[in-house]
Amino acid sequence: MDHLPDFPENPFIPKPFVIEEKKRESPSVFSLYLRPIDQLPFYFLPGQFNMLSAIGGGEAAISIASDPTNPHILIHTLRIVGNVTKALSKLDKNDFVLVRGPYGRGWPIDLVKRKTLILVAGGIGLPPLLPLLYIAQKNKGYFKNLILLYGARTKDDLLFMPLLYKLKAEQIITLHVSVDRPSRDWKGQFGTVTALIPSISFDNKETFVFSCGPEIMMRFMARAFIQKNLPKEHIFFSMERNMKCAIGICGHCQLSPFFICKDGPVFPYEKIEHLLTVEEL
Amino acid sequence: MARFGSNKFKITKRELQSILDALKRKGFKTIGPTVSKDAIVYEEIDSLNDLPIGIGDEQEAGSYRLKKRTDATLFGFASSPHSWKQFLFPAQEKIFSIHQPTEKTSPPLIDPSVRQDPPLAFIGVRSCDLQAIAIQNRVFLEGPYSHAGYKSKAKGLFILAVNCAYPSATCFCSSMGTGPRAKSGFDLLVTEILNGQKEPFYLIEAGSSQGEEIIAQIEKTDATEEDLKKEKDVIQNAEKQIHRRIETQGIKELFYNNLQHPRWEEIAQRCLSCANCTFVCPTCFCSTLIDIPKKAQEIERWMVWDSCFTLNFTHTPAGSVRKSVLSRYRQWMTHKLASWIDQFGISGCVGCGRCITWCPVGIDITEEAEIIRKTSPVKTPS
Repeated sequence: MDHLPDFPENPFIPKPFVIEEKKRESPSVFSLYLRPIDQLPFYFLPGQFNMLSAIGGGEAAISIASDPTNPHILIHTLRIVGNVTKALSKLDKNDFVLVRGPYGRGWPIDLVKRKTLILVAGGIGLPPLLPLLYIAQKNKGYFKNLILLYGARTKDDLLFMPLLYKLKAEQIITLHVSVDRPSRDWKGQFGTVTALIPSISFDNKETFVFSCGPEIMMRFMARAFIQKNLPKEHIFFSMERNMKCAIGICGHCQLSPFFICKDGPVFPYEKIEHLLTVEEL
Repeated sequence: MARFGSNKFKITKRELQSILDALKRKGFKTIGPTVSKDAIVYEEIDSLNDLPIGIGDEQEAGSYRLKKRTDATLFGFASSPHSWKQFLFPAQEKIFSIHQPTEKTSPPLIDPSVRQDPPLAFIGVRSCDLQAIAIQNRVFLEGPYSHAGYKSKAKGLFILAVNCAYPSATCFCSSMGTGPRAKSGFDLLVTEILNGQKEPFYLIEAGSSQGEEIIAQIEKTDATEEDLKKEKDVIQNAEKQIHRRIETQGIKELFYNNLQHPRWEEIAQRCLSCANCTFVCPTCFCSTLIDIPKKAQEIERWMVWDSCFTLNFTHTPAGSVRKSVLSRYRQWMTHKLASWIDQFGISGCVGCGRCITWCPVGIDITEEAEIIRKTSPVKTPS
């Protein structure tokens, strides 16, 4: 059969990046600051992800946590949860990381221009939202208001707090932080991050919500906003599933008709709401 | 574009061998059915003598037996445990190798390992499997990215198809609209006709210019009205032997509406979650990537078949998404018959019956689909 069109080169071939800096963010979370060895700028859209691996350590899908306006440094923030992230955690400055990407559909940033944007992050769900904070920082006035509701299990699990406090001091974000299990020295809110929602006031027509965190958190979050009459179509989720190929051919990340890797990871809540209530789908 | 299929010719077995020889001379690796370990499998073949001459099969849910026929047919059997996907999408394939120089500051070297294998010629592809190849072409080649390994093999592929004359008891292609007559997607198409004799003769037609070139080189006579009638009889006879069916009217909505149907639990009681159905299925495309250490400083990354029936398949930091067998069987069947349509604009099932035959406990997708339809609380318009 000679009718098949030509396609670009093998999409599975990664590019080596060198670790310029490694930072510990919490007891189980670290960031890698990566520079491509070919020195070519790495462009991406907020909410997209890369496939990352330590040489021989297997690949994992990791969201991009860097500033989209600076394509010369790529930042990934990872929680050590399995073999792949463990292998990556053992690398140090000047070691090489294999990267392919960026993949997926990110946050609909054009839709929220000059609007109020509420970000709801749970735990390691914060890094995929960071590019939006950098946009707000570099491009003042991009959002009318930017509100971050951030929750973590304990105080020690909170990530990027110096950056968040700095953005708050610069009046770039309004920040609400809550921990599930407060320690004695915790002075802030406690309970689930969704409990912060009822006290927030916003203009329904001009407000959008982007959320990343555990699925159960996002579902309760959506419910809480809908109770406050926010239109469903203003709510967006970043979904997590097992991913191997990132290009919609390995089958792992399916959620009914969707491949999370190429149809997502960011979805309008409206599109997936009915799928989230079916167990083990 | 030239139109094919209007000219049909009558040839003998000897000319079929000439076609095989011509393909080999052109540099094709010829792959066809052959008998191995009490089953008909697809392997490299050198001559028609390698084919299952006078061998048929008997299939039922969970059962497969070869049987001797009383004639000398070359294609007197139905779907085999193999499908052609193993040649275009091998069960394991190296994607690249990576070498880390001893000097730690030197970047790793990646060798994409593009192999220049000879082009493949498939001999004896049935209509159901033609459709399966067309479906996998969509999956692997028509997205924003394509699978380079698959593409390199699919691009130069030559297909000699055969009209299916002897469907098995587990076949249901006619209800899926995929057979038994081959309609497109081949370079050459033959119909094996017995005409009451032990030795069959063949009607042949071209489906591409490459096929036409080959026909031009062989001895043949024009097919007569009588030959064409016999060809029609072969197909009609095959259709009569197909008793299983799936009603496809509104099937996507049927399955989307029945994700909570109690039948899933009943199936899960029997399903061993062994993944056989996914490996014999000619359209199942799931895979995983694994890193294999070779020697010091050298790693290979391989793409290997995976199955939605394994617990690890949906592993995330929060655990597996599909822990229960119920959820895994539901995913497989709902994907095959419903969500595939949303994903690729076509059903993922071609009605070849392999999943029924090779299920160790004989779970029958046609039976289960019918039960779900009959007991669906939401009626699907038909």
